[in-house]
Amino acid sequence: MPFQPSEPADWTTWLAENGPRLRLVARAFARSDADADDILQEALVRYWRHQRHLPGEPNALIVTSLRRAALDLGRQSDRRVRREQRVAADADLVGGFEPPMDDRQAFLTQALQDLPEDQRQVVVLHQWGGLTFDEIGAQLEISPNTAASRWRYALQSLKKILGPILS
Amino acid sequence: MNDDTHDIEAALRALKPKRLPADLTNRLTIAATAPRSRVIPFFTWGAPLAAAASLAFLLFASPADESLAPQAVVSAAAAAPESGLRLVRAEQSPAEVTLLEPVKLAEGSFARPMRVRWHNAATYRDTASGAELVRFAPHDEVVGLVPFETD
Repeated sequence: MPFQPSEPADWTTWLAENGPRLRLVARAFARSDADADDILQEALVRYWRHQRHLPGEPNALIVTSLRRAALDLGRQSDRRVRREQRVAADADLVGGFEPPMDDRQAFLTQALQDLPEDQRQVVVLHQWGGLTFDEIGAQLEISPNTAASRWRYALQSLKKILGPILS
Repeated sequence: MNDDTHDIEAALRALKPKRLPADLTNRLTIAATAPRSRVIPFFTWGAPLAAAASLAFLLFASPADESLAPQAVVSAAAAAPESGLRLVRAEQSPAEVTLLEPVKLAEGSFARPMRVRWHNAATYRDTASGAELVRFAPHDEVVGLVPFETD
């Protein structure tokens, strides 16, 4: 059967299912929305064009591509200047979520944004990136135990802030 | 994770990443699915072109010089249909290269078969009567596979 080069239906479905959460992961690595979208594009294009036929679960592979793209972007000094100029304007995790349905969600997204960066990255990679602590450790070059500890600390911090609201 | 934080975990699960904006979706779709320029590796068509060049050399080398032994040329290009005929002209058309529809290979990748078409025309003249015979030989071959996705 002739191969359909663009496979629009498959791509559209795949992007709709995975694009939003992977964009959130990209934001966890990037300093601005614009950088996150550049990183997302590079990683998704690499995956779709060259890696999607590979066997196995592609999630960790895509997250690796996201992180490498973020690191490459960070090494480009001229873009770093522009990135730093954009940080104050549009870099936040809150904007990566659907509008909150209630006050609880609004507080939660803001509390997530206010977490220390190392904890916030672990939360995003675990919750929306779908990575295990082993995989997170490999991504962030920390031990799995450290990744799990950061997850626990993050949850406790969120609990401390949001406990009264949640109860 | 545990009872102390299960409500937080549940609340996190309830947070939904924002849908991609239309302009970003379009940008990603174009970048990921638009056909790319095809870079044809030399090895896929170098061999047939080299063979064609060798054949052309043999065909064109002899007619201008009647003193050359015609047998070599005739055997390389096309055997003279009858004795008494002398090869006086040989022509080869430019090769027409066409990439066919992609096919799926056994290992799961995709490639485009490459079709090459050309023709050879050899003209022989009867030394006694001066009559000419043209031998026309069309060629139509699938000579290689071009990887469908290339960097």
